[in-house]
Amino acid sequence: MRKLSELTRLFLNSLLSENMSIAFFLGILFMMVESGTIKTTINKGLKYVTTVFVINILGWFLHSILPVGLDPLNPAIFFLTTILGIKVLKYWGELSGEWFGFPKLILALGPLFGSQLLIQNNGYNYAEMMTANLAYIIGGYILFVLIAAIKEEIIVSDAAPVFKSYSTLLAAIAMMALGIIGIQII
Amino acid sequence: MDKNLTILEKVMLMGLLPLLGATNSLKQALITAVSAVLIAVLIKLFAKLISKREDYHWYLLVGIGITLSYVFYIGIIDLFPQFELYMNNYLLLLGVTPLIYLGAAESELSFFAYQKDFFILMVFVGALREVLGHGTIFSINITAAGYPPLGFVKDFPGAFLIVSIIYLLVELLRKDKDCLKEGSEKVV
Repeated sequence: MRKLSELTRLFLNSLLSENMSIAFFLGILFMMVESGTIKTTINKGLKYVTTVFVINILGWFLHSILPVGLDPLNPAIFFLTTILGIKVLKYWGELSGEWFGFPKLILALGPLFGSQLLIQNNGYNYAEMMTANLAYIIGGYILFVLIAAIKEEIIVSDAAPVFKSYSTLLAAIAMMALGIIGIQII
Repeated sequence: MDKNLTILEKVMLMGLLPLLGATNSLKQALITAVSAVLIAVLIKLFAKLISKREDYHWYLLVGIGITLSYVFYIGIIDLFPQFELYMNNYLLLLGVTPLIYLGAAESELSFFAYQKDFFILMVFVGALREVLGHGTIFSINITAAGYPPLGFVKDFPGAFLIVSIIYLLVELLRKDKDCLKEGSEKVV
């Protein structure tokens, strides 16, 4: 019963105040750039979070079977799993085109590589990794759809054009983050 | 979607991860900014050596970028152990920050303008967050003990808020006002 309570707490923390996207900023840029209409983002988000979820499990598994003496190879493992994630997203028709002269795969590096690093740093066992990973992707998915909704609202709003920029989007995310801190305090 | 952005606005987007995560204190921001600029210069040099026609061009560059981030992280701790307190994972994550791959995508003239703006921004945001969030600058107390003016600024909501305010100020102060007129495509 005590273990369940610990995992529940880990789930809630990973979902809210320690979420990879809000608290560690992993994937925020990807979400800001790649979110379109709510309808398209719902599908895109599912592909994105599924990839992050599977890659995190794969990265954790490969990291855990690696002998302790070979720990410096972890970045190489995470890099390979990240490339695999990018290939999967590309196979699903995502990450096509360019962004400021970069291929869009550059945008997916942060969440794919960073989330594996985050899980490794926390030293989770299997149950904890699955719990945190699930909470990360649920939180990430909700945030992705919310960002798409906010973007849509910004575009159709009567606000001055100067406010129809990423500054408003970042300010809206800041307000959400403050709300999350508030929920955590309660 | 991303049309008509100035260099400073692009820098804020491309370098968003370190700008949000590694600016909790001025020292942390300085270490990350210097490392990012040096890694970006090295990536630019590597990019010249790798044929751009190959499909694996970008994957190879990303591999080099991530390796360089780890080399810098370990190197700084080894050479300057006193900085270990200010090291964080965002230094390791420089390898996944779009800004450091700019040399592989942009002209040399713009490259240095981007790096200069990124460095200034990191220092500015780091200083602002340290003063407002901790009430210190370079760890020297400048407010009465226990009374940081805006404590939440040192946490993640403050990072988003400070960056959004700076982005808005950049928008308001830009010289090219045409793209801010009604009906332009300068929106998120």
